[in-house]
Amino acid sequence: MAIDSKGARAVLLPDATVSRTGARLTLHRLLHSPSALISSGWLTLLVLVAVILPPLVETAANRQDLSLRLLPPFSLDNGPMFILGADGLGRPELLQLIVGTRTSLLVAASAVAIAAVIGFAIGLISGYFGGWVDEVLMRIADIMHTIPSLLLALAVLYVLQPSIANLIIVLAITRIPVYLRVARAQALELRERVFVESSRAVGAGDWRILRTDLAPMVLPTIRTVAMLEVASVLLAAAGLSFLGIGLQRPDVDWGMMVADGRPYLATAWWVTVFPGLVIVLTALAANLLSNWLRAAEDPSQAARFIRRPRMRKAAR
Amino acid sequence: MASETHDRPDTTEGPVLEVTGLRKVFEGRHGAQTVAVAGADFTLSAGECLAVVGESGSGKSTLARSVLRLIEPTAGSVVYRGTDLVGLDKRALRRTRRHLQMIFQDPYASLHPRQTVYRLISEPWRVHRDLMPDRPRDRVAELLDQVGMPASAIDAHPAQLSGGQRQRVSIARALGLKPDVLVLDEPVSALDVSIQAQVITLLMELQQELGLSYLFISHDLALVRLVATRVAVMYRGEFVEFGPTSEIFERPQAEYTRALLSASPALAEFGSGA
Repeated sequence: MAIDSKGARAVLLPDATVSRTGARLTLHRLLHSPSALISSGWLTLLVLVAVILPPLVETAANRQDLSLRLLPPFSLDNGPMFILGADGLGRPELLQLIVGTRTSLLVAASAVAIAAVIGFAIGLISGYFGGWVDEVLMRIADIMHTIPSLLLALAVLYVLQPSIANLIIVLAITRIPVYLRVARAQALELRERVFVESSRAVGAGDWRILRTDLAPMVLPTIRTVAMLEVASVLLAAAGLSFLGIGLQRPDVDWGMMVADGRPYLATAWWVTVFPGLVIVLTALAANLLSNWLRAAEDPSQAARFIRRPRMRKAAR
Repeated sequence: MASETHDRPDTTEGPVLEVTGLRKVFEGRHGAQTVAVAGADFTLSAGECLAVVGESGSGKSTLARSVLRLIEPTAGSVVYRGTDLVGLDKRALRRTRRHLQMIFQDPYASLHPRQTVYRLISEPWRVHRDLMPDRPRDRVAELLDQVGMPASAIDAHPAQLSGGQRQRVSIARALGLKPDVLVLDEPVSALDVSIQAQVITLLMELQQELGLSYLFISHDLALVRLVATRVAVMYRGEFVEFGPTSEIFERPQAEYTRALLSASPALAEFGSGA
Protein backbone atom coordinates (compact mmCIF):
# COMPACT_ATOMS: atom_id res chain seq x y z
CA MET A 1 0.00 0.00 0.00
CA ALA A 2 2.88 2.36 -0.59
CA ILE A 3 0.99 4.29 -3.18
CA ASP A 4 1.05 8.04 -2.84
CA SER A 5 -2.44 9.49 -2.60
CA LYS A 6 -1.28 12.43 -4.65
CA GLY A 7 -0.38 10.11 -7.47
CA ALA A 8 -2.78 11.79 -9.81
CA ARG A 9 -0.74 14.95 -9.68
CA ALA A 10 2.08 13.27 -11.54
CA VAL A 11 0.14 13.28 -14.78
CA LEU A 12 -0.84 16.80 -15.72
CA LEU A 13 -3.73 17.45 -18.00
CA PRO A 14 -2.68 18.79 -21.36
CA ASP A 15 -3.78 22.41 -21.66
CA ALA A 16 -4.79 22.13 -25.31
CA THR A 17 -7.87 20.09 -24.55
CA VAL A 18 -9.86 22.96 -23.17
CA SER A 19 -9.24 25.15 -26.20
CA ARG A 20 -12.06 24.72 -28.70
CA THR A 21 -15.48 24.71 -27.14
CA GLY A 22 -19.09 25.69 -27.73
CA ALA A 23 -19.87 27.95 -30.66
CA ARG A 24 -16.40 27.81 -32.16
CA LEU A 25 -16.48 24.03 -32.20
CA THR A 26 -19.86 24.03 -33.92
CA LEU A 27 -18.62 26.51 -36.51
CA HIS A 28 -15.57 24.39 -37.13
CA ARG A 29 -17.71 21.33 -37.77
CA LEU A 30 -20.12 23.27 -39.95
CA LEU A 31 -17.34 24.15 -42.39
CA HIS A 32 -16.83 20.44 -42.99
CA SER A 33 -20.41 19.60 -43.89
CA PRO A 34 -21.54 20.80 -47.36
CA SER A 35 -25.29 20.28 -46.96
CA ALA A 36 -25.39 21.96 -43.56
CA LEU A 37 -23.21 24.78 -44.85
CA ILE A 38 -25.45 25.41 -47.88
CA SER A 39 -28.58 25.17 -45.71
CA SER A 40 -27.32 27.65 -43.18
CA GLY A 41 -26.14 29.90 -46.03
CA TRP A 42 -29.63 29.91 -47.55
CA LEU A 43 -31.30 30.61 -44.23
CA THR A 44 -28.83 33.37 -43.42
CA LEU A 45 -29.50 34.94 -46.82
CA LEU A 46 -33.26 34.85 -46.18
CA VAL A 47 -32.85 36.44 -42.75
CA LEU A 48 -30.66 39.19 -44.20
CA VAL A 49 -33.17 39.82 -47.01
CA ALA A 50 -36.04 39.86 -44.54
CA VAL A 51 -34.31 42.35 -42.26
CA ILE A 52 -32.79 44.73 -44.78
CA LEU A 53 -34.84 44.89 -47.95
CA PRO A 54 -38.61 45.10 -47.20
CA PRO A 55 -38.69 48.74 -46.03
CA LEU A 56 -36.93 49.77 -49.24
CA VAL A 57 -39.19 47.90 -51.65
CA GLU A 58 -42.53 47.76 -49.87
CA THR A 59 -44.19 50.56 -51.86
CA ALA A 60 -42.97 49.22 -55.17
CA ALA A 61 -43.99 45.71 -54.22
CA ASN A 62 -47.63 46.68 -53.75
CA ARG A 63 -47.92 48.95 -56.80
CA GLN A 64 -50.42 47.40 -59.18
CA ASP A 65 -49.98 47.90 -62.90
CA LEU A 66 -52.60 46.08 -64.92
CA SER A 67 -50.64 46.59 -68.12
CA LEU A 68 -47.97 44.27 -66.71
CA ARG A 69 -50.50 41.66 -65.58
CA LEU A 70 -49.04 38.11 -65.54
CA LEU A 71 -45.81 39.34 -67.11
CA PRO A 72 -43.57 36.31 -67.81
CA PRO A 73 -40.30 36.00 -65.88
CA PHE A 74 -36.64 36.16 -66.97
CA SER A 75 -36.92 39.40 -68.91
CA LEU A 76 -35.33 42.73 -67.96
CA ASP A 77 -37.49 44.83 -70.29
CA ASN A 78 -39.44 46.34 -67.41
CA GLY A 79 -36.49 46.64 -65.02
CA PRO A 80 -34.80 44.16 -62.68
CA MET A 81 -37.67 44.05 -60.23
CA PHE A 82 -39.73 42.17 -62.83
CA ILE A 83 -37.07 39.49 -63.38
CA LEU A 84 -39.41 36.90 -61.82
CA GLY A 85 -42.44 38.24 -63.68
CA ALA A 86 -45.60 39.82 -62.29
CA ASP A 87 -48.72 38.45 -60.62
CA GLY A 88 -52.39 38.70 -61.58
CA LEU A 89 -52.58 42.37 -60.58
CA GLY A 90 -49.28 43.31 -62.19
CA ARG A 91 -47.29 43.43 -58.95
CA PRO A 92 -43.59 42.53 -59.29
CA GLU A 93 -43.15 38.92 -58.15
CA LEU A 94 -39.60 39.40 -56.84
CA LEU A 95 -40.50 42.29 -54.57
CA GLN A 96 -43.60 40.51 -53.34
CA LEU A 97 -41.38 37.56 -52.42
CA ILE A 98 -38.99 39.83 -50.55
CA VAL A 99 -41.76 41.40 -48.49
CA GLY A 100 -43.33 37.96 -48.01
CA THR A 101 -40.03 36.60 -46.70
CA ARG A 102 -40.17 38.99 -43.79
CA THR A 103 -43.71 38.00 -42.86
CA SER A 104 -43.17 34.27 -43.29
CA LEU A 105 -39.96 34.22 -41.26
CA LEU A 106 -41.39 36.50 -38.60
CA VAL A 107 -44.43 34.29 -38.17
CA ALA A 108 -42.48 31.04 -38.19
CA ALA A 109 -39.68 32.22 -35.91
CA SER A 110 -41.98 33.89 -33.38
CA ALA A 111 -44.40 30.97 -33.24
CA VAL A 112 -41.55 28.50 -32.81
CA ALA A 113 -39.84 30.62 -30.17
CA ILE A 114 -43.01 31.11 -28.13
CA ALA A 115 -44.01 27.45 -28.36
CA ALA A 116 -40.48 26.27 -27.53
CA VAL A 117 -40.10 28.45 -24.44
CA ILE A 118 -43.52 27.57 -23.04
CA GLY A 119 -43.33 23.88 -23.92
CA PHE A 120 -39.79 23.61 -22.56
CA ALA A 121 -40.71 25.17 -19.22
CA ILE A 122 -43.95 23.27 -18.72
CA GLY A 123 -42.43 19.98 -19.89
CA LEU A 124 -39.49 20.26 -17.49
CA ILE A 125 -41.72 21.05 -14.55
CA SER A 126 -44.20 18.36 -15.47
CA GLY A 127 -41.57 15.67 -15.87
CA TYR A 128 -39.56 16.64 -12.83
CA PHE A 129 -42.36 16.99 -10.30
CA GLY A 130 -44.64 14.31 -11.70
CA GLY A 131 -47.82 13.64 -9.74
CA TRP A 132 -51.17 15.20 -10.52
CA VAL A 133 -49.66 18.31 -12.11
CA ASP A 134 -48.03 16.03 -14.66
CA GLU A 135 -51.25 14.07 -15.18
CA VAL A 136 -53.31 17.17 -15.86
CA LEU A 137 -50.75 18.77 -18.15
CA MET A 138 -50.26 15.62 -20.17
CA ARG A 139 -53.99 15.07 -20.61
CA ILE A 140 -54.29 18.63 -21.91
CA ALA A 141 -51.41 17.92 -24.28
CA ASP A 142 -53.14 14.73 -25.42
CA ILE A 143 -56.32 16.62 -26.17
CA MET A 144 -54.40 19.26 -28.08
CA HIS A 145 -52.75 16.53 -30.08
CA THR A 146 -56.00 14.91 -31.09
CA ILE A 147 -57.43 18.15 -32.44
CA PRO A 148 -55.98 18.72 -35.91
CA SER A 149 -53.93 21.89 -35.55
CA LEU A 150 -55.12 23.22 -38.87
CA LEU A 151 -58.73 22.85 -37.76
CA LEU A 152 -58.05 24.57 -34.45
CA ALA A 153 -56.26 27.38 -36.25
CA LEU A 154 -59.17 27.70 -38.67
CA ALA A 155 -61.67 27.96 -35.84
CA VAL A 156 -59.66 30.42 -33.78
CA LEU A 157 -58.71 32.65 -36.69
CA TYR A 158 -62.31 32.64 -37.89
CA VAL A 159 -63.51 33.91 -34.52
CA LEU A 160 -60.61 36.31 -33.93
CA GLN A 161 -59.42 38.79 -36.51
CA PRO A 162 -56.90 37.28 -38.93
CA SER A 163 -53.71 39.20 -38.20
CA ILE A 164 -50.03 38.47 -37.91
CA ALA A 165 -50.20 38.47 -34.11
CA ASN A 166 -53.17 36.12 -33.97
CA LEU A 167 -51.59 33.83 -36.55
CA ILE A 168 -48.43 33.61 -34.42
CA ILE A 169 -50.39 32.88 -31.26
CA VAL A 170 -52.49 30.16 -32.89
CA LEU A 171 -49.49 28.48 -34.46
CA ALA A 172 -47.56 28.68 -31.20
CA ILE A 173 -50.34 27.15 -29.13
CA THR A 174 -50.83 24.25 -31.49
CA ARG A 175 -47.09 23.42 -31.43
CA ILE A 176 -46.53 23.58 -27.66
CA PRO A 177 -47.21 19.85 -27.08
CA VAL A 178 -44.27 18.91 -29.28
CA TYR A 179 -41.76 20.59 -26.97
CA LEU A 180 -43.70 19.67 -23.88
CA ARG A 181 -43.40 15.98 -24.65
CA VAL A 182 -39.73 16.12 -25.51
CA ALA A 183 -38.82 18.14 -22.42
CA ARG A 184 -40.97 16.00 -20.15
CA ALA A 185 -39.57 12.74 -21.41
CA GLN A 186 -36.03 13.94 -20.81
CA ALA A 187 -36.83 15.41 -17.40
CA LEU A 188 -38.41 12.10 -16.37
CA GLU A 189 -35.20 10.30 -17.18
CA LEU A 190 -32.81 12.98 -15.90
CA ARG A 191 -34.42 13.40 -12.48
CA GLU A 192 -33.36 9.85 -11.59
CA ARG A 193 -29.73 10.49 -12.49
CA VAL A 194 -27.11 10.41 -9.77
CA PHE A 195 -25.93 13.96 -10.40
CA VAL A 196 -29.39 15.16 -9.42
CA GLU A 197 -29.13 13.19 -6.19
CA SER A 198 -25.69 14.67 -5.71
CA SER A 199 -27.12 18.18 -6.09
CA ARG A 200 -29.77 17.36 -3.55
CA ALA A 201 -27.11 16.08 -1.16
CA VAL A 202 -25.27 19.41 -1.26
CA GLY A 203 -28.56 21.14 -0.52
CA ALA A 204 -29.93 22.24 -3.88
CA GLY A 205 -33.69 22.74 -3.99
CA ASP A 206 -36.04 21.67 -6.76
CA TRP A 207 -35.91 24.92 -8.70
CA ARG A 208 -32.13 25.04 -8.60
CA ILE A 209 -31.97 21.45 -9.82
CA LEU A 210 -34.38 22.28 -12.64
CA ARG A 211 -32.34 25.30 -13.62
CA THR A 212 -28.78 24.08 -13.29
CA ASP A 213 -29.04 20.31 -13.71
CA LEU A 214 -31.94 19.60 -16.03
CA ALA A 215 -32.36 22.66 -18.23
CA PRO A 216 -28.82 22.61 -19.73
CA MET A 217 -29.24 18.93 -20.59
CA VAL A 218 -32.60 19.36 -22.29
CA LEU A 219 -31.89 22.63 -24.09
CA PRO A 220 -29.87 21.17 -27.01
CA THR A 221 -32.71 18.79 -27.83
CA ILE A 222 -35.25 21.59 -27.68
CA ARG A 223 -33.07 23.66 -29.97
CA THR A 224 -32.89 20.85 -32.49
CA VAL A 225 -36.61 20.24 -32.36
CA ALA A 226 -37.26 23.96 -32.75
CA MET A 227 -35.12 24.04 -35.86
CA LEU A 228 -37.11 21.16 -37.28
CA GLU A 229 -40.32 22.90 -36.28
CA VAL A 230 -39.42 26.04 -38.22
CA ALA A 231 -40.04 24.03 -41.36
CA SER A 232 -43.41 22.64 -40.33
CA VAL A 233 -44.64 25.92 -38.87
CA LEU A 234 -43.59 27.64 -42.07
CA LEU A 235 -45.67 25.14 -44.02
CA ALA A 236 -48.60 25.43 -41.60
CA ALA A 237 -48.54 29.22 -41.90
CA ALA A 238 -48.38 28.94 -45.65
CA GLY A 239 -51.30 26.53 -45.56
CA LEU A 240 -53.43 28.88 -43.47
CA SER A 241 -52.63 31.79 -45.76
CA PHE A 242 -53.39 29.62 -48.74
CA LEU A 243 -56.80 28.91 -47.25
CA GLY A 244 -57.31 32.64 -46.91
CA ILE A 245 -57.57 32.85 -43.13
CA GLY A 246 -53.90 33.46 -42.34
CA LEU A 247 -53.18 36.96 -43.42
CA GLN A 248 -55.06 39.70 -45.23
CA ARG A 249 -53.72 42.14 -47.75
CA PRO A 250 -51.70 44.33 -47.67
CA ASP A 251 -49.73 41.84 -45.56
CA VAL A 252 -48.27 39.18 -47.75
CA ASP A 253 -46.44 35.93 -47.15
CA TRP A 254 -45.34 33.03 -49.28
CA GLY A 255 -48.44 30.95 -48.69
CA MET A 256 -50.68 33.79 -49.78
CA MET A 257 -48.65 34.23 -52.95
CA VAL A 258 -49.11 30.58 -53.81
CA ALA A 259 -52.84 30.99 -53.23
CA ASP A 260 -52.97 34.11 -55.41
CA GLY A 261 -51.34 32.27 -58.27
CA ARG A 262 -53.58 29.24 -58.17
CA PRO A 263 -56.23 30.53 -60.67
CA TYR A 264 -53.50 31.15 -63.23
CA LEU A 265 -51.66 27.91 -62.72
CA ALA A 266 -52.33 26.70 -66.27
CA THR A 267 -51.36 29.96 -67.95
CA ALA A 268 -48.86 31.65 -65.65
CA TRP A 269 -46.94 29.04 -63.66
CA TRP A 270 -44.42 31.50 -62.23
CA VAL A 271 -46.89 33.21 -59.94
CA THR A 272 -47.25 29.94 -58.01
CA VAL A 273 -43.96 28.21 -58.61
CA PHE A 274 -41.55 30.85 -57.30
CA PRO A 275 -43.10 31.24 -53.84
CA GLY A 276 -43.70 27.51 -53.74
CA LEU A 277 -40.07 26.88 -54.54
CA VAL A 278 -38.93 29.26 -51.81
CA ILE A 279 -41.14 27.45 -49.29
CA VAL A 280 -39.78 24.06 -50.29
CA LEU A 281 -36.15 25.20 -50.24
CA THR A 282 -36.51 26.87 -46.87
CA ALA A 283 -38.27 23.92 -45.27
CA LEU A 284 -35.64 21.61 -46.72
CA ALA A 285 -32.79 23.79 -45.47
CA ALA A 286 -34.27 23.94 -41.98
CA ASN A 287 -34.68 20.17 -41.94
CA LEU A 288 -31.17 19.44 -43.14
CA LEU A 289 -29.66 21.89 -40.70
CA SER A 290 -31.57 20.53 -37.73
CA ASN A 291 -30.62 16.98 -38.62
CA TRP A 292 -27.02 18.01 -38.80
CA LEU A 293 -27.25 19.94 -35.53
CA ARG A 294 -28.68 16.93 -33.76
CA ALA A 295 -25.87 14.70 -34.93
CA ALA A 296 -23.19 17.31 -34.28
CA GLU A 297 -24.30 17.91 -30.72
CA ASP A 298 -24.69 14.26 -29.80
CA PRO A 299 -21.44 13.27 -28.08
CA SER A 300 -21.84 9.67 -29.25
CA GLN A 301 -21.87 10.81 -32.85
CA ALA A 302 -19.31 13.55 -32.41
CA ALA A 303 -16.55 11.28 -33.69
CA ARG A 304 -18.05 11.69 -37.13
CA PHE A 305 -17.17 15.34 -37.03
CA ILE A 306 -13.99 15.77 -35.08
CA ARG A 307 -11.42 13.94 -33.05
CA ARG A 308 -12.33 13.68 -29.39
CA PRO A 309 -10.14 15.25 -26.74
CA ARG A 310 -7.36 12.91 -25.78
CA MET A 311 -7.10 13.90 -22.14
CA ARG A 312 -8.93 10.95 -20.74
CA LYS A 313 -6.36 8.48 -21.92
CA ALA A 314 -3.37 10.50 -20.85
CA ALA A 315 -4.48 11.53 -17.39
CA ARG A 316 -4.78 8.80 -14.89
CA MET B 1 -1.19 0.58 7.88
CA ALA B 2 -4.14 -1.41 9.07
CA SER B 3 -2.95 -1.37 12.67
CA GLU B 4 -2.52 2.38 12.47
CA THR B 5 -6.22 2.79 11.79
CA HIS B 6 -7.19 0.49 14.61
CA ASP B 7 -5.04 2.28 17.18
CA ARG B 8 -6.93 5.51 16.63
CA PRO B 9 -9.19 6.21 19.62
CA ASP B 10 -12.76 5.25 18.99
CA THR B 11 -14.29 8.25 20.66
CA THR B 12 -13.07 11.74 21.36
CA GLU B 13 -16.11 13.70 22.38
CA GLY B 14 -19.19 11.54 22.10
CA PRO B 15 -21.04 10.52 18.97
CA VAL B 16 -21.35 12.88 16.01
CA LEU B 17 -24.19 10.87 14.62
CA GLU B 18 -26.75 8.71 16.39
CA VAL B 19 -29.00 6.56 14.29
CA THR B 20 -31.88 4.81 16.05
CA GLY B 21 -34.42 2.40 14.63
CA LEU B 22 -33.89 3.57 11.09
CA ARG B 23 -36.27 1.73 8.81
CA LYS B 24 -37.11 1.97 5.15
CA VAL B 25 -39.95 0.08 3.54
CA PHE B 26 -40.61 0.45 -0.17
CA GLU B 27 -44.25 0.21 -1.17
CA GLY B 28 -44.67 -1.72 -4.39
CA ARG B 29 -47.74 -2.07 -6.53
CA HIS B 30 -50.75 -3.91 -5.11
CA GLY B 31 -49.60 -3.28 -1.53
CA ALA B 32 -46.45 -5.35 -1.89
CA GLN B 33 -43.82 -4.24 0.62
CA THR B 34 -40.07 -4.56 0.49
CA VAL B 35 -38.23 -4.01 3.73
CA ALA B 36 -34.91 -2.55 2.58
CA VAL B 37 -33.68 -1.49 6.01
CA ALA B 38 -35.30 -3.16 9.01
CA GLY B 39 -34.36 -0.91 11.89
CA ALA B 40 -30.71 0.06 12.04
CA ASP B 41 -29.11 1.37 15.24
CA PHE B 42 -25.60 2.74 15.40
CA THR B 43 -23.53 5.70 16.49
CA LEU B 44 -20.67 7.35 14.72
CA SER B 45 -17.93 9.05 16.72
CA ALA B 46 -15.66 11.84 15.58
CA GLY B 47 -12.80 10.55 13.47
CA GLU B 48 -14.25 7.07 13.27
CA CYS B 49 -14.76 4.95 10.20
CA LEU B 50 -17.76 2.69 10.48
CA ALA B 51 -18.09 0.23 7.64
CA VAL B 52 -21.33 -1.36 6.54
CA VAL B 53 -20.75 -4.52 4.55
CA GLY B 54 -23.07 -6.95 2.87
CA GLU B 55 -23.94 -8.48 -0.45
CA SER B 56 -25.71 -6.46 -3.12
CA GLY B 57 -29.36 -5.97 -2.29
CA SER B 58 -28.75 -6.17 1.44
CA GLY B 59 -29.89 -2.57 1.93
CA LYS B 60 -26.53 -0.87 2.38
CA SER B 61 -27.13 1.88 -0.13
CA THR B 62 -30.67 2.44 1.07
CA LEU B 63 -29.28 2.82 4.58
CA ALA B 64 -26.74 5.38 3.37
CA ARG B 65 -29.39 7.39 1.56
CA SER B 66 -31.86 7.19 4.42
CA VAL B 67 -29.27 8.53 6.85
CA LEU B 68 -28.97 11.64 4.65
CA ARG B 69 -32.71 11.67 3.97
CA LEU B 70 -31.99 11.48 0.27
CA ILE B 71 -34.75 8.95 0.49
CA GLU B 72 -37.32 9.49 3.19
CA PRO B 73 -36.95 6.86 5.97
CA THR B 74 -40.14 5.12 7.02
CA ALA B 75 -39.30 5.29 10.70
CA GLY B 76 -36.44 6.05 13.08
CA SER B 77 -34.25 9.01 13.87
CA VAL B 78 -30.92 10.34 12.64
CA VAL B 79 -29.50 12.70 15.22
CA TYR B 80 -26.58 14.85 14.18
CA ARG B 81 -25.04 16.68 17.15
CA GLY B 82 -28.40 16.94 18.86
CA THR B 83 -30.53 17.69 15.78
CA ASP B 84 -32.81 15.00 14.42
CA LEU B 85 -32.71 15.15 10.62
CA VAL B 86 -35.95 13.23 10.37
CA GLY B 87 -38.81 15.67 10.65
CA LEU B 88 -36.84 18.80 9.77
CA ASP B 89 -38.43 21.05 7.17
CA LYS B 90 -36.64 21.60 3.86
CA ARG B 91 -34.81 24.72 4.92
CA ALA B 92 -33.59 23.35 8.25
CA LEU B 93 -32.65 20.06 6.64
CA ARG B 94 -30.54 21.87 4.07
CA ARG B 95 -28.75 23.79 6.81
CA THR B 96 -28.02 20.76 8.96
CA ARG B 97 -27.27 18.34 6.18
CA ARG B 98 -24.39 20.34 4.85
CA HIS B 99 -22.32 18.83 7.67
CA LEU B 100 -23.06 15.38 6.30
CA GLN B 101 -21.95 14.85 2.74
CA MET B 102 -22.08 11.92 0.43
CA ILE B 103 -19.64 10.45 -2.07
CA PHE B 104 -21.38 8.36 -4.69
CA GLN B 105 -20.28 5.08 -6.16
CA ASP B 106 -20.03 5.95 -9.81
CA PRO B 107 -18.12 9.17 -10.50
CA TYR B 108 -19.13 8.86 -14.16
CA ALA B 109 -22.75 9.42 -13.15
CA SER B 110 -22.51 11.69 -10.13
CA LEU B 111 -20.86 14.69 -11.80
CA HIS B 112 -22.96 16.84 -14.09
CA PRO B 113 -21.52 16.25 -17.57
CA ARG B 114 -21.95 19.83 -18.74
CA GLN B 115 -20.37 21.59 -15.78
CA THR B 116 -16.71 22.38 -15.42
CA VAL B 117 -14.72 21.26 -12.41
CA TYR B 118 -14.85 24.82 -11.11
CA ARG B 119 -18.61 24.92 -11.43
CA LEU B 120 -19.01 21.48 -9.86
CA ILE B 121 -16.99 22.36 -6.80
CA SER B 122 -18.35 25.86 -6.36
CA GLU B 123 -21.99 24.92 -6.92
CA PRO B 124 -22.63 23.95 -3.26
CA TRP B 125 -21.60 27.46 -2.20
CA ARG B 126 -24.31 28.92 -4.41
CA VAL B 127 -26.78 27.02 -2.22
CA HIS B 128 -25.09 27.80 1.10
CA ARG B 129 -24.27 31.42 0.37
CA ASP B 130 -22.64 32.04 3.74
CA LEU B 131 -19.92 29.56 2.78
CA MET B 132 -19.08 31.31 -0.50
CA PRO B 133 -15.38 32.23 -0.24
CA ASP B 134 -14.20 35.71 -1.18
CA ARG B 135 -12.19 34.25 -4.03
CA PRO B 136 -14.01 31.09 -5.04
CA ARG B 137 -11.54 30.23 -7.79
CA ASP B 138 -8.61 30.27 -5.40
CA ARG B 139 -10.54 28.18 -2.92
CA VAL B 140 -11.43 25.63 -5.62
CA ALA B 141 -7.77 25.42 -6.63
CA GLU B 142 -6.93 24.85 -2.95
CA LEU B 143 -9.48 22.06 -2.67
CA LEU B 144 -8.18 20.48 -5.86
CA ASP B 145 -4.71 20.52 -4.38
CA GLN B 146 -6.03 18.95 -1.20
CA VAL B 147 -7.40 16.00 -3.16
CA GLY B 148 -4.26 15.67 -5.26
CA MET B 149 -5.51 17.24 -8.46
CA PRO B 150 -3.54 19.71 -10.57
CA ALA B 151 -4.90 23.27 -10.61
CA SER B 152 -5.02 23.07 -14.41
CA ALA B 153 -8.01 20.75 -14.13
CA ILE B 154 -10.18 23.61 -12.92
CA ASP B 155 -11.75 24.31 -16.32
CA ALA B 156 -11.99 20.71 -17.47
CA HIS B 157 -15.26 18.89 -18.00
CA PRO B 158 -15.79 15.50 -16.35
CA ALA B 159 -15.48 13.80 -19.76
CA GLN B 160 -11.86 14.92 -19.83
CA LEU B 161 -11.05 13.27 -16.51
CA SER B 162 -10.35 9.69 -15.54
CA GLY B 163 -12.52 7.85 -13.04
CA GLY B 164 -10.06 8.42 -10.21
CA GLN B 165 -9.82 12.10 -11.00
CA ARG B 166 -13.59 12.39 -11.11
CA GLN B 167 -13.89 10.79 -7.70
CA ARG B 168 -11.31 13.27 -6.40
CA VAL B 169 -13.46 16.09 -7.76
CA SER B 170 -16.49 14.61 -5.95
CA ILE B 171 -14.50 14.54 -2.75
CA ALA B 172 -13.36 18.14 -3.23
CA ARG B 173 -16.97 19.16 -3.87
CA ALA B 174 -18.06 17.57 -0.60
CA LEU B 175 -15.12 19.02 1.35
CA GLY B 176 -16.05 22.51 0.16
CA LEU B 177 -18.96 22.42 2.60
CA LYS B 178 -16.65 21.59 5.53
CA PRO B 179 -18.56 18.48 6.60
CA ASP B 180 -17.90 16.35 9.70
CA VAL B 181 -19.42 13.20 8.31
CA LEU B 182 -18.88 11.67 4.91
CA VAL B 183 -21.16 8.91 3.78
CA LEU B 184 -19.13 6.93 1.27
CA ASP B 185 -21.30 4.69 -0.86
CA GLU B 186 -18.88 2.20 -2.43
CA PRO B 187 -16.56 5.11 -3.22
CA VAL B 188 -13.98 3.12 -5.14
CA SER B 189 -15.79 0.09 -6.49
CA ALA B 190 -16.30 1.73 -9.89
CA LEU B 191 -12.58 2.45 -10.24
CA ASP B 192 -9.63 0.44 -11.53
CA VAL B 193 -7.89 -1.52 -8.82
CA SER B 194 -4.69 0.55 -9.05
CA ILE B 195 -6.72 3.75 -8.72
CA GLN B 196 -8.74 2.34 -5.83
CA ALA B 197 -5.67 2.26 -3.62
CA GLN B 198 -4.83 5.89 -4.41
CA VAL B 199 -8.31 7.14 -3.66
CA ILE B 200 -8.57 5.10 -0.46
CA THR B 201 -5.22 6.44 0.71
CA LEU B 202 -6.44 9.95 -0.03
CA LEU B 203 -9.63 9.33 1.95
CA MET B 204 -7.66 8.02 4.92
CA GLU B 205 -5.28 11.00 4.85
CA LEU B 206 -8.17 13.42 4.70
CA GLN B 207 -9.84 11.68 7.61
CA GLN B 208 -6.75 12.18 9.73
CA GLU B 209 -6.14 15.75 8.63
CA LEU B 210 -9.71 16.93 9.04
CA GLY B 211 -10.99 14.58 11.72
CA LEU B 212 -13.82 13.38 9.52
CA SER B 213 -16.17 10.54 10.44
CA TYR B 214 -16.88 8.04 7.71
CA LEU B 215 -19.88 5.86 7.15
CA PHE B 216 -18.25 3.54 4.67
CA ILE B 217 -20.56 1.37 2.58
CA SER B 218 -18.74 -1.44 0.82
CA HIS B 219 -18.84 -5.04 -0.27
CA ASP B 220 -15.05 -5.25 -0.49
CA LEU B 221 -14.01 -6.96 2.76
CA ALA B 222 -10.27 -6.56 2.22
CA LEU B 223 -10.80 -2.84 1.89
CA VAL B 224 -13.03 -2.67 4.93
CA ARG B 225 -10.48 -4.47 7.04
CA LEU B 226 -7.97 -1.84 6.03
CA VAL B 227 -9.99 1.31 6.71
CA ALA B 228 -12.71 0.58 9.24
CA THR B 229 -12.66 0.99 12.99
CA ARG B 230 -15.93 -0.87 13.39
CA VAL B 231 -17.92 -3.02 11.02
CA ALA B 232 -21.62 -3.68 10.68
CA VAL B 233 -22.57 -6.72 8.66
CA MET B 234 -25.86 -6.27 6.89
CA TYR B 235 -28.05 -9.03 5.55
CA ARG B 236 -31.56 -8.54 4.19
CA GLY B 237 -31.89 -5.13 5.76
CA GLU B 238 -30.68 -6.14 9.19
CA PHE B 239 -27.40 -5.87 11.07
CA VAL B 240 -26.52 -9.48 11.75
CA GLU B 241 -23.23 -8.58 13.35
CA PHE B 242 -21.69 -5.37 14.63
CA GLY B 243 -18.36 -4.82 16.34
CA PRO B 244 -14.71 -3.72 16.15
CA THR B 245 -13.05 -4.62 12.86
CA SER B 246 -10.52 -7.08 14.30
CA GLU B 247 -13.28 -8.84 16.22
CA ILE B 248 -15.45 -9.33 13.16
CA PHE B 249 -12.63 -10.56 10.99
CA GLU B 250 -10.97 -12.82 13.51
CA ARG B 251 -13.94 -14.18 15.47
CA PRO B 252 -17.02 -13.86 13.28
CA GLN B 253 -20.11 -14.95 15.19
CA ALA B 254 -22.93 -14.88 12.71
CA GLU B 255 -23.29 -17.59 10.10
CA TYR B 256 -23.69 -15.00 7.38
CA THR B 257 -20.48 -13.19 8.33
CA ARG B 258 -18.53 -16.43 8.09
CA ALA B 259 -20.03 -17.15 4.70
CA LEU B 260 -19.18 -13.65 3.56
CA LEU B 261 -15.58 -13.92 4.78
CA SER B 262 -14.96 -17.26 3.17
CA ALA B 263 -16.42 -16.00 -0.08
CA SER B 264 -13.76 -13.30 -0.30
CA PRO B 265 -10.64 -14.72 -2.02
CA ALA B 266 -8.29 -12.01 -0.77
CA LEU B 267 -9.32 -12.63 2.83
CA ALA B 268 -9.12 -16.37 2.65
CA GLU B 269 -5.41 -15.84 2.05
CA PHE B 270 -5.19 -13.23 4.80
CA GLY B 271 -6.78 -15.65 7.20
CA SER B 272 -4.37 -18.49 6.62
CA GLY B 273 -1.39 -16.14 7.07
CA ALA B 274 -2.56 -14.64 10.37
